[in-house]
Amino acid sequence: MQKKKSLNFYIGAFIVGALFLLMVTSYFYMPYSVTEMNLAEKLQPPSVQHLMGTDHFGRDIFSRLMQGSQTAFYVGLISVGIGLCIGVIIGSIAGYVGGRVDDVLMRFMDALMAFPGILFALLFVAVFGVGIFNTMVALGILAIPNFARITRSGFLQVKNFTYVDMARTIGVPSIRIMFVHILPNIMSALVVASSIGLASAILSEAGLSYLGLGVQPPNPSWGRMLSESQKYLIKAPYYALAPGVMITLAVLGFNLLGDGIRDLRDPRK
Amino acid sequence: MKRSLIALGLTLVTMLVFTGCGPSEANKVQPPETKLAEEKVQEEAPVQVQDHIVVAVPQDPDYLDPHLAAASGTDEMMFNVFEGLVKSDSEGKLIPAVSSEYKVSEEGLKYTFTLREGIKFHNGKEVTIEDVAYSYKRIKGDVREDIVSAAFENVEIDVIDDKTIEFTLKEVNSGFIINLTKAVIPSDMGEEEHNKHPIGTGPYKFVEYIPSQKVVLEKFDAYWIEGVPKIKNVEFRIFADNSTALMSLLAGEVDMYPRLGTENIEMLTDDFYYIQGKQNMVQLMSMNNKVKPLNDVNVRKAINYAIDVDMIIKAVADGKGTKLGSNMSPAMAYYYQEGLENTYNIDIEKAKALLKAAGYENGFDITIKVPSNYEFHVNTAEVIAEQLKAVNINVTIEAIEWSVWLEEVYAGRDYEMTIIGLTGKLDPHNILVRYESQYDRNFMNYSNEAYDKLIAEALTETDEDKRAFLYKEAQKILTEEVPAVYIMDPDFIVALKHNLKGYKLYPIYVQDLSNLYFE
Repeated sequence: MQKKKSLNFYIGAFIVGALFLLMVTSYFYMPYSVTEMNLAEKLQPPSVQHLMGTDHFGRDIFSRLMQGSQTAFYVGLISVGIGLCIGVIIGSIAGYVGGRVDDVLMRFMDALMAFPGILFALLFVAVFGVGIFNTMVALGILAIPNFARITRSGFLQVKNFTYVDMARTIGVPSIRIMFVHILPNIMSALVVASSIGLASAILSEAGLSYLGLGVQPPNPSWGRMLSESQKYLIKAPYYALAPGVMITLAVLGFNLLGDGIRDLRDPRK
Repeated sequence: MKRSLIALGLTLVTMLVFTGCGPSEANKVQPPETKLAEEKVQEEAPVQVQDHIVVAVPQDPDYLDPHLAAASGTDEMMFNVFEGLVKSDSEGKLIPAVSSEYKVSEEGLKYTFTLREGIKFHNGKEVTIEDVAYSYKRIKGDVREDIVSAAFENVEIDVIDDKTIEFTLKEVNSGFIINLTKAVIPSDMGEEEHNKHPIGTGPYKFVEYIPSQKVVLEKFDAYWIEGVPKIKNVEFRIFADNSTALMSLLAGEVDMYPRLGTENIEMLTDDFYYIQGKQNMVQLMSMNNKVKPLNDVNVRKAINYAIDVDMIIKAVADGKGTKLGSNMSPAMAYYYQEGLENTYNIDIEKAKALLKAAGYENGFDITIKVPSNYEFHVNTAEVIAEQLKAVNINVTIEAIEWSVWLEEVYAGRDYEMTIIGLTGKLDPHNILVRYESQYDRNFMNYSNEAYDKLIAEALTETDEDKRAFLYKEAQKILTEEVPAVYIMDPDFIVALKHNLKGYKLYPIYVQDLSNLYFE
């Protein structure tokens, strides 16, 4: 197989890699404490001491962004994980069994997909309470239909292949056929969907935190920082710029990465 | 899907870049004097005195009918339209308005008011004693089912002659007269008319209300104080968003912006000035007095010792607030007990010792529920959480919606700690009754017999000095027992055009426009 090149992939991988490195570093080292307040240094513009300046309590914005990347990755990975696991199971059953079961499951997925995402998340946290855990669950549920659809369409393509029929004739249990023989065929599609799903999960988490319903203070989250900075937009524009750029980079990075993987795996190109 | 996401990402970047550049340039505008001078020349070109003002307000009125209205945002505007038998002046003292004088009988049960000579409604008709009686009977609940006020429950309203009206109470209530600041309205209007085109006796008459846009008022020429008001037309423009209001002010579209955030003060150019003052609010951190470990007074004291209120004022209000020691703002000068605010100056050692005595040497975990729409309180919670780390108290902040706060915390008392601002009342009883054991909105869950007795005694006390003394004693109990950590009365900041003069701050939530004038 000839090696293909994808610019999207390299840019995406670079951005995601850099963010990942930032996140990993934040577990071992951060320039300043993210919660300690220093009023003498309130709203300082970027400088050598504070790379991205300080916020309204004199906390280092760069350190808070680093810690915020933990939240972003954490929420993104867990919610995509939830969506992936449940979505794959539902999609496999729908695709493999077919018929009535397929209809019922997929119409349910359609209904979930038709529901506006942010509204669902708002309702969810309104009922079950605010906090990072509920945010992840809400975003995870929202991710289910997409994965279910991708899995199902993959199953529909693969389930009538001869080797699957063979396996069935020699008495391999259905579960084994589904997850050992068929699922690996659609892995690449799922990886692409996961990458793009991560981007939208990070964006949604930022949105919820912006509205005050995600991560609770004083823990930093990019969305929360964006909403806190809004009041100082004119006085300290760099404050809003920092988390804004981070969110943009993360979303852009994961999207490009997803596209890149698709380009590389697509046999038609 | 992917294209649109990328496009979205790119738009975000460009947006951020632009918002990032714009304001920083605006910042630079301030120091060079040339630009300012230019603007001034433009301003001064048409030399004529302005006869209208635009005031920025944050919300719509809830009802135009003064007896239905409950929101303080409505009072803020309609204070200029309606008057009661008495009204508040800028020091919170009650002065006669629709009445010209009144007297209270010796035992404190009978209030007799004399109608002001020649006072007129906005429709030109003279106010009669029947109008007064009708108005207060309407508030009492005799006219409509949807207007019932508990304040007039045991009050008899009698017209004595065509100049005199008498209110008779069943038991002494020194706070009763506050209820007579409620509006006097004409008795010969259709019931629904009051909510469509209200008529009162105030310095301004109502012209029109366009929902979510503006409330327009016009000078009432026959107002009972000669020469008042001075400005002819008033528009309250409704801005749901603070930064839009600020922009409009800076652009010169708005002449007066109450509630300017402290963080925006330095954005005011030479074309503006601001007035700041106490707003009779008590910002506090209530500690649920029935929940462990906060039911222990030593724990509450320890928390108070560990909190640096001066730092909170600096961090959250840019230093523009008055430190409090009890549930009373110095804006209530006559009833305010001085010297309590430094009782619990920060002392970490003492806090640790108190915690040790209470058996919480290693601290504990606690949750602060705070309404998410009040950034001021959320920020305060953040500072407090950081400060309490020093005594090993691990605070979790839970920012909840306002409606949830009202239900869970205010009504349900299901919380550990919460931060809120209690808005000012004119009568000290209404402020301090919150801590009375039986009071249904005593969300601090505080209960103290001695305190209850003081409040009950003060309510029936007719001698003002003695009454003030009792309320001061009550404040001392609150400081001593710490049902809440008293933080500050945040300053109220009003931004005005440089030539707009005569503004007075009130200890209640109103904008009195009657004395404003342009120089």
